[in-house]
Amino acid sequence: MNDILRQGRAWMPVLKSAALFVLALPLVISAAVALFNGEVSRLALIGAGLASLWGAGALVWRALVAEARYYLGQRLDPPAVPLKLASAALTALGAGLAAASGDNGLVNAAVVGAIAAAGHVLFYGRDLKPRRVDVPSVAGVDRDAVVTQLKQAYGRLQGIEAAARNIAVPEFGDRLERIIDVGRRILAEIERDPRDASRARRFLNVYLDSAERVTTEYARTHRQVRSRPLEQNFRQLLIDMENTFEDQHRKLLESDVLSLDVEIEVLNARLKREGVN
Amino acid sequence: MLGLLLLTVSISVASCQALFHGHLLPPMPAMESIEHQ
Repeated sequence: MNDILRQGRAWMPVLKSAALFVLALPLVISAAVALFNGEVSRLALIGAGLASLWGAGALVWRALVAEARYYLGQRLDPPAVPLKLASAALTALGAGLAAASGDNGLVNAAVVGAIAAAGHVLFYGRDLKPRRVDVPSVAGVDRDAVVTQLKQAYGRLQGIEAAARNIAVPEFGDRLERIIDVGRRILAEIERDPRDASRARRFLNVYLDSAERVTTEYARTHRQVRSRPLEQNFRQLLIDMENTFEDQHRKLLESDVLSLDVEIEVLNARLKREGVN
Repeated sequence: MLGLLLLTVSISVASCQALFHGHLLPPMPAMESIEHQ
């Protein structure tokens, strides 16, 4: 039951898409009246307006579903097509066409359409921009595989973040925030030097996945049972997790220093050999 | 909430104009026709 509630909370914004379907309903009556009076051109304008508004509703529904999945870490990227922008344009068109059927002129229709578009942007927000994962090409490293790993890892961090919002204990929220911060620093390090992906294999494939699963599970169960031993276990787990993440980050930095040392040594030897030093 | 308000107002205005031939409310009957009745 609680799981259903938790899912419900995560998907709540999707319900906002119903507004466009409901608000357009009076146009059905207008269309019926126009049909009854035999006003063909008016009926065409109202019908087109209604179709545009419901089309806008369908688009924004898809956009909000995709965003919910993206925020929960269930998909790697937000939609590539700006669905909300298209929905806002259709909303403006729909409201404008419906207003135009009243024979009040184009300016009136344009003003009504513009207000509807502004309302759409304020109510539903803008399209999410896909995360840019810039990984340089390095010999011997499968760049595409690293990009996919990084996107999955960012998704898992987002999943942890979403679960953390459902945990009411402030201390755990702070700890998870620090863990997410270190996680982001590790991923940024891998993004900068994709050779780190193989060094951080366990972090990418095991630690992050476990961290996300445990946090989500705790966020689900602590609403049902508030037991001290469970809290203490989770606290200890978070401490271990934080230390592991910090260790991983430090190791990546140290390996960078080590490889820089090696490169300097090689350069020194070369300069000596060529008689510059 | 301002967004929802703007959406509601604009689509409602458009719907009313579509329903009442450009008016926001049904046109009132002229005084003469009331007196005639």
